[in-house]
Amino acid sequence: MSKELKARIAGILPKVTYFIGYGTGINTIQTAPLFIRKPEQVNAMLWNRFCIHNLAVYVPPQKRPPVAPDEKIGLILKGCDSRAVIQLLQEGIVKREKLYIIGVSCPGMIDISKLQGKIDINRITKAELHEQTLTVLADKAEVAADINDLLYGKCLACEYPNTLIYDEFIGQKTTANPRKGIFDAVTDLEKMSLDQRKAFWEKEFSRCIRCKACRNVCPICYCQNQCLLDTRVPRWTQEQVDTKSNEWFHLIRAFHLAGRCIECGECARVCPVNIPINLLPMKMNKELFDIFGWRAGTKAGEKSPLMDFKLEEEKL
Amino acid sequence: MPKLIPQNKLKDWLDNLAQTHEVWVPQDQDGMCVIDLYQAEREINLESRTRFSAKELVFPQTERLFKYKYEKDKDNPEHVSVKLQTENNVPKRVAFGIPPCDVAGIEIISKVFDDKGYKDPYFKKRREALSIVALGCQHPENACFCTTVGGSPSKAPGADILLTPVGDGYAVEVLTAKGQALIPNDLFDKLADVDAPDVEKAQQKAGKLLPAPMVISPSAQTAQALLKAFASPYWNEATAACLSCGICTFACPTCHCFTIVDEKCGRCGERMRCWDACMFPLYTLEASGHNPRLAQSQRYRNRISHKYSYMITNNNILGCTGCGRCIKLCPAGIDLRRIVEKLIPKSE
Repeated sequence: MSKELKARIAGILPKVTYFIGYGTGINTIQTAPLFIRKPEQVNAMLWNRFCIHNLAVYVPPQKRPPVAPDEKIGLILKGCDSRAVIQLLQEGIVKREKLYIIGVSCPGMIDISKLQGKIDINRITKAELHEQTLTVLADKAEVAADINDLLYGKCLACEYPNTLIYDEFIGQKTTANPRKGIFDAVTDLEKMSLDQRKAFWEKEFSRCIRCKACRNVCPICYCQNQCLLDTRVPRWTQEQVDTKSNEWFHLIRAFHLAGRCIECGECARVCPVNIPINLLPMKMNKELFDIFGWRAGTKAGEKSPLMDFKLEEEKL
Repeated sequence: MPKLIPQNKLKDWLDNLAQTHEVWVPQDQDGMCVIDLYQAEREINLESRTRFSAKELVFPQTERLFKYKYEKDKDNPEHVSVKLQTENNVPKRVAFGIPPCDVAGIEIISKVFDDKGYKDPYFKKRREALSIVALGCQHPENACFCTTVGGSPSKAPGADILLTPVGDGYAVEVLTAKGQALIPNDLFDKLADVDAPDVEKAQQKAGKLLPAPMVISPSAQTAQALLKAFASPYWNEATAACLSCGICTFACPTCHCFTIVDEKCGRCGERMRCWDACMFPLYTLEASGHNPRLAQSQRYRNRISHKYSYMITNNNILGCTGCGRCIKLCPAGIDLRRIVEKLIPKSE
């Protein structure tokens, strides 16, 4: 992390109860969300090419350690993650003045799982990032790769490299240079026949263990105990884990995210059984984009078309 | 004297076992290594760690306990009887090539489901029908810490057979009579012997692959340490990022909490036992609406304290095998080792 960023975070700390940033993960090329309360802890903060977690998940007050009513929290947000804050503000989940946001420009994050197959990413002994080359030593095998080949899918399609809503911006803003479309993966799915799509999703849902990590890591899912996928009376979903109940779980969730998903892809990243579960809300997003030109969390103050009403809709 | 089975003869053994057993073996599927039913045409993978533990073989995520049906008496419609139908068929299974930490996991939950005080018939049936061929671990992962909790990468108490990689094959040590029954004589008679000291040497080498900066014993002091830390503000700090999902519990080889539900449709239904997770807020929600563990720090504290304190008090064992899955898969990057190291004083 640059000295400037560290100094700024230390400067903000007296104003906030805690500041959320990134700290060391289980190895040198993984980070983890870090909550700090004291200035000396700033030294443990990281800002590098491995800061994938969307810290906006901690913006809804019910999803983070409580603070007193007159206190605020600080956090660092990437461009994609900041869309969640815009959406949450629009939904009235958090008050703007309760957040102190540090804006940054993000060069794209590295997905080390893309190295799997070449090396065992669970047995990393050494890793070095030098300019555009990531060299990783794992279990006696070494691999060097161009980081442009290791970027997360969402980073390749990044339209918002700069934080969209912030209290202060550190560093220079960059311009977006998407190398593919954000809806490309959805378009590929749409090309399948209905039967093929059904088979595709049934295979994916058959693996789901319903750990609910996709839901809990989602910054827009904040219903907690009141989530209808959790309530036992009335019971909307079945407790048992099988393809059909899993499908029900994920489809309900996708509908609840329609026009609200901010495309951070965290649900798919955390899935312990590799289900590309972000494709479901993304499909809903594509529909909303095609019909209403709507992209959740991109314009502060605007209302989602599904929460608004016009006498005449142009495209309906 | 142990036999040495070369890599290329493993398939013959597995094919032989598959004639009489359901053989479950690690294999690659959908971009991960999973323990799944052996099929002759599919490659097995004894190099990688399976995404989840083998506990599903004795404690499935969804267990159908019985089916029920209400029947009305035609002559006396007020009288309704219930017919129950249990599912008794538990196939004979072999868990083949599972690591010592997974064997330890099965041993630990056996203490809960099949101990002096309580015997769970569903678990017992599955455990008795399961034979374990463990494979000594050669490649600890970044998140591994079995030696810290008293385990070993190369010994697997509770297994029926232990395989130890030696050269281009595996030394086969038969540990129990159940294990002996898995040895096809016509195949093994043709195999070469391997010297016991050579096996011992290979195991010692593997044991050194995973340095243990501290060793936690299932002692009263360990149990006390966490009780003392019950009100520590450290829990808030360490678990601030926790998202209350169920990955750590579901992936854990020793987590064994469940809920029982009836799925009813008309007059018929099924009673099922499904995994639950103490990380879910609903787990402790009481009928009154009160929740004694409302904060995620309280839930996380429970999970750690259960493994490192309550299980010592109740069962004289540590409830953690050090497999590291909760660390590796945590969406918030929470490292259980850091918490445990902080709260439990180093024992000599």
